[in-house]
Amino acid sequence: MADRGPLSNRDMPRQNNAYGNNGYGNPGYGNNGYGNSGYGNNGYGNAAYGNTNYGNTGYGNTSYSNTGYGNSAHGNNGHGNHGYNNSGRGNSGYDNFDRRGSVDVRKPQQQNAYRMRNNRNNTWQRGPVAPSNTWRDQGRPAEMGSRNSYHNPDLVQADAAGRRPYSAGTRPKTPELVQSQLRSNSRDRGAAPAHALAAYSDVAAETATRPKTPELGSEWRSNSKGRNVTPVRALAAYSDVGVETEGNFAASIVGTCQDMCPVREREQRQRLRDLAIFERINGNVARTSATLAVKKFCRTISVAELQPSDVRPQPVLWGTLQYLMHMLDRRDYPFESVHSFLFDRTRAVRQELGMQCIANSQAITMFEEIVRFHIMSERELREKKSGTGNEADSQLNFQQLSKSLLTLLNLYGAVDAEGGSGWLHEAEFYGYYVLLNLGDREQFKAEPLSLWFRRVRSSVLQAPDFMYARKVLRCYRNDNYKGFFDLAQKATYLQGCLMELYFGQMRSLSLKAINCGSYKMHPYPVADIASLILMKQGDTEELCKAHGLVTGIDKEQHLSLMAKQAPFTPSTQIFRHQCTLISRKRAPTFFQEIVGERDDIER
Amino acid sequence: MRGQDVNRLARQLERAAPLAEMLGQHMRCMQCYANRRYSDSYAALEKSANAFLQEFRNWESAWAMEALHSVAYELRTIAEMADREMAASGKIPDKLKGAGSFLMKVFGALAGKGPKRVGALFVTCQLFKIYFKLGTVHLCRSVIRSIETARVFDFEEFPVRDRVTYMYYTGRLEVFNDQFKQADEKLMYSLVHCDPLKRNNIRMVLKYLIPVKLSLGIMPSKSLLEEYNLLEYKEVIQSLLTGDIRLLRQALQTNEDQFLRSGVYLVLEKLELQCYRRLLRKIYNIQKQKDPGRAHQVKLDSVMKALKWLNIEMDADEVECVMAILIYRNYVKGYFSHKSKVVVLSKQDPFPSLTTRVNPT
Repeated sequence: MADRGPLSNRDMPRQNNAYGNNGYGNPGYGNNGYGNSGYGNNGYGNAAYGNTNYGNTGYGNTSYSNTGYGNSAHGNNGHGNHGYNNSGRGNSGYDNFDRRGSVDVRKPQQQNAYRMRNNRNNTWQRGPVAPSNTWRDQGRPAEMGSRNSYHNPDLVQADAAGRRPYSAGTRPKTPELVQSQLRSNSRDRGAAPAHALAAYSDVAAETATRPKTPELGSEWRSNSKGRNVTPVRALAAYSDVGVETEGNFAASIVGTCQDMCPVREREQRQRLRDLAIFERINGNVARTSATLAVKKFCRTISVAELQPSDVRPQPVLWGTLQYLMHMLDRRDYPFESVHSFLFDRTRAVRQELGMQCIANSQAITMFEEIVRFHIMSERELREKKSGTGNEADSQLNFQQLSKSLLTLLNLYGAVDAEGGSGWLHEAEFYGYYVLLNLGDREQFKAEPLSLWFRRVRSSVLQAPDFMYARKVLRCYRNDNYKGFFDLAQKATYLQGCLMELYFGQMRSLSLKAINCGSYKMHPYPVADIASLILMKQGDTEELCKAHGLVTGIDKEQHLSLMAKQAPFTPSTQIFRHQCTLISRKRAPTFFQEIVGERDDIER
Repeated sequence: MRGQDVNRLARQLERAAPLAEMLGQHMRCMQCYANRRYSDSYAALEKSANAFLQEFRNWESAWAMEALHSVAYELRTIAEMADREMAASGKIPDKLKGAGSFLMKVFGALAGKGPKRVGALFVTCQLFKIYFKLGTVHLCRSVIRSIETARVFDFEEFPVRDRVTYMYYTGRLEVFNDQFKQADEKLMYSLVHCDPLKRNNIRMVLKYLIPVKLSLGIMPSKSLLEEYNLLEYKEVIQSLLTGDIRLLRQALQTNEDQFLRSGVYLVLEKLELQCYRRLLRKIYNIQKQKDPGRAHQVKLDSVMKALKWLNIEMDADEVECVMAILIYRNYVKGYFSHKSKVVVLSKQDPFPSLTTRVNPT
């Protein structure tokens, strides 16, 4: 169905704009490899079965959580699409994790795989079709991922998170497995893409009263009615941002694994000695237990091989998350290791929540805690970054922060609050979104803030947390640095963490303005500047020097800034002075900060 | 029937097939529309349009452009109705997204060189309307790039109604991205070329043009506001003329919903600096009347008193900060002294005209 009409894709008049490809004009069904490359892809060129509608936008994703130019895993996942066909700037379903987006370290064969006829997905044949050998045998994406993490020097603390990302593909193939692959593969072809899922979900929705029956083997796939109900809006909430699994939204699973880590994976990792520091018994790299092991994040889970016993149900996920959050206060290991372990494991938790399309108040609480964790670790990592200069962790963390925040906001919209009074912390998190996007000046970024505001509910608009964020936005846009820092003093810890992102900018601005406007004969005392911009006097002096401004002692023996100095150079180094004011706001333990005060939420 | 007849008929059918499908599906679409089943109507229309497009690609000349335009228009409107229907029955509305992707295909067919290009702008405008409705404005980018980088075709060759609509939407995008000079150009173009009888359209353009002009220091007259029923801006303008910051904030608050919905709220918030400038100017004028010799020295205290009278509490540091920013951004010429807590305005032209102001980055 890929080529309708006399003009095939190849013959379509193609206009190459400066970036090489036209993203449009590709027929909707399936990827032919010409539609997704480089820049300029707009999701609408490649809609329908091969991609989701939001797959490839200008810089990759509507949720702007990708570094470089890539696509999220959501971008081109579909049936028979194993992630190779996201050609272009080195990104495919498994690559937005540790990729900068511009380097494609795959072998040339895989890089150009989209050109190979065998790799075309547009063989949408009806009826059962034996899977072509080619794409299945062409090296598992998961192994590709592991190669990346090995050679990527930026992946910090690889040991802490376990040596290799666990790949579902390294499981030995049993006959039953192959059988179920065949069966499910045939069913998947021509099965529902995301937007037609609504039709199926309608059917599922009618059967809301049926009890959930855990089904074994491949039977669970056959009957949509017996499965866990997928509320349509919950699905929309997750599919908007991109659940990080490959394809098949038609089947959302009910997990049955009762441990934090499924038994199969645990045994496999023990065998492969792939255990993180925190999972080892007595430091033995080959032994772990049910209480210590936590399921790893796997970027590409081929759905055919997934079993309910590999997926954790909601109560277990909740327990896992609590266990993980308690780890934050450990003092025996440096924060980076703890962070990368938690980063990976919470990502797995989020993935499973999405896979099972769980959308209820507990899921919302879980996401809230995860977002708070990311905000907090953003700050901690920034501080460490100034020492080691290591960018990777912080960038990845930031990416995941944006993603999880977006999912959370979608969930707020999708799930009706009990009692109709709205969610307790909703305004807080909407506020975080605003604080994260204070300065989005980039042209045509996913959604300008002006448009985003249209979608915010009026109950949130008036809430104090959100009003605070709006005030910060106003001060930022009006260059009111005093107002900005005043508000920073009144911020909560997490709000302060986010505002700290803009401190450097506002401080430079204040120096510029003061330098520009103050009177020659009356130099401005540095101490006053320091109290204005919440820095220590010594640091302020350094900041002035970095901007090429000279300070000196004035008549009253105060250290002052001379006015009207002509060269105001933008600072060459980036100043990362941790604001002690904000550090003081933190709750005594990290766990308390993340969890907040809460009465016992339903367990 | 004899064999050859069957073959002959089959060949005839083959030749006519695409058009037959197109007509057939179009009939179905109309039928569903009459029965108010908009989702089915849209589905049929899309199939019909698909068949039409296949044929259209083959034709050398652009004789069927009008038909294609009306199909595009219908696709959008029926998709909107279908989405409303789906939302009402609890499903995720996705017809409009589908219409968007289909129209991209149509655009691809039109955007090449040749006589068909004239119609491309209409389809672009339909795409804009869809994207704006869906909120996915970043997708406009590729379309805009393709229109604007075409060197073979002159923009002025497109029909005027398409040009006006195009400039309106791109102007709005510039407003959302805070690019006021470009927004001004585009929206002015749209206003100038718009048919004076189309009052609704003019009103829509003005709704976005007014905040842009205000940011550049140009005020619309009251009669303009009244004529086009844009009274929500009345108080904003009045506060800018008198330097009344309290009024500005109040005006933003009372009309908050309206402004947020049209997306100009953040633009209007930025007018606060202009308001401070006007306030300072008023103080300066009053001082000039009382004591012309020393009028150019304005104590920060006086500013604080004025603000207090407006029920706005600001401490000396914050007032100083505002003054510093005013000077830095060339709203005001002069300097301030931290020690003596005064702002000293320049003797000549302390308040340069807003329109000629240069904004330092």
